[in-house]
Amino acid sequence: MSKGWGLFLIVAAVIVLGGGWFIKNLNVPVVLDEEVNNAWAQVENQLQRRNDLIPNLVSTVKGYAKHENQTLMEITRLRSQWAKSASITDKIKTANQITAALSKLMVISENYPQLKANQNFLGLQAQLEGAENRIAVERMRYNEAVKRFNAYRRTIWGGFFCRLRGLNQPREYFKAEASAGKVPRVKF
Amino acid sequence: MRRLSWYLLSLVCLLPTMLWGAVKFPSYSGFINDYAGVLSPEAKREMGLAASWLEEKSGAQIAVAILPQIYPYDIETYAVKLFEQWGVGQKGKDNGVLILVALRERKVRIEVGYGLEGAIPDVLAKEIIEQNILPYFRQGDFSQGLLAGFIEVVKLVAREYSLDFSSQKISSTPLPLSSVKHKPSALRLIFALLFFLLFLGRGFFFPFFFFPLGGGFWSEGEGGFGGGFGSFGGFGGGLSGGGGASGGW
Repeated sequence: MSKGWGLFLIVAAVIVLGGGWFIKNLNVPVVLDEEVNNAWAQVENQLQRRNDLIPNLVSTVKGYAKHENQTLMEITRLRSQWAKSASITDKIKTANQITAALSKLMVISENYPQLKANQNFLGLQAQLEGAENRIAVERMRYNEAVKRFNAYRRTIWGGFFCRLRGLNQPREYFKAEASAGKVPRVKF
Repeated sequence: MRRLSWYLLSLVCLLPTMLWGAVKFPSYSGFINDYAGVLSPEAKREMGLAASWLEEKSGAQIAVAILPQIYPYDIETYAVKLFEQWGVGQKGKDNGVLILVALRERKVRIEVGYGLEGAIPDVLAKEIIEQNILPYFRQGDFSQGLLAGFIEVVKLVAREYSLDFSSQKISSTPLPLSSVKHKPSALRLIFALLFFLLFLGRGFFFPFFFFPLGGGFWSEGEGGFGGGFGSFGGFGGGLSGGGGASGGW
């Protein structure tokens, strides 16, 4: 009698605990995935903020640096390309190109003392610095969220629950472009 | 029974690394945290008063951290991380500002919480650094430079909340007891015990908690508790997103 009761209790406990565990874990992939989405929205906000600075920046630089039309046109083109890109992959790629083009523009501006002395340009430069820094912060938080999701997805039970919720694809990291890490070579 | 006690013992041994291994940033002891000992008591007191006045009137929190060095990080990254760790400003409102000074790196940063980015745009933060702080820093006068910058920040935030900041107002308020040097170790002990009990409870009664949960389990809720006595009740869990400006001398 007592043996049967014991067995019953054990089985019941296993079912209750196992069921609780199962249901709890069904929610985990969804929560993690939504955190990634949220972090991406923040990244996009900040990228948009930087893009909004571009027209003003371009017209200011244009007044002083007439020979740099190519760089300026490139930036304008990339800005409209950004508006057209739909997928996260595209957006990351375009954003990295804009980063490269803008930093090139900032280097170029060093050659124009009058431009550097322009109060409007100085203000824009500070704003651009702030925009870049904000992007860096949100990118860091986004990558952390992606890491949490991807790491979870690769664990044994995580992979199982992700498949159950249809979230089998890993999320994409926002990596800075490979060339950004390269030190430019100076030739004499 | 013996196995159980081994299990317990190993838990006790592991606990310190789990609790303290993750803490990289200094814990705060008030609004003004001078880990390098460069501030004069008067400057510290004046800034403390202004900060408590502002918090009392508006809820916004302004923190200062002076560090000897911030080695593996640059000032922007360190500021964001420290801001998040301390949680300067109220949760949800994110109305905090952190003024960070790294002495060895010779860098200063005003990091603005999400909620105050309108009150302190990057351009104004830059202006405060260049015009109010750096001239004094270049002469080695950290107290005067920081105080000047701090007051400008307080003014901007006060204006955001339609308050009128003048130095007469704050000197009439009593001195806050905010300068508790370090978090009392007794408090630490209690928290360690609490953590321990929590851990034990989970480990024993809900073994499935050990299955993958997506990480970040233990890193939550660190550094947010306690903080001091008197008028300073700790920071509120605010967040920043890289707003503000930096400068070097």
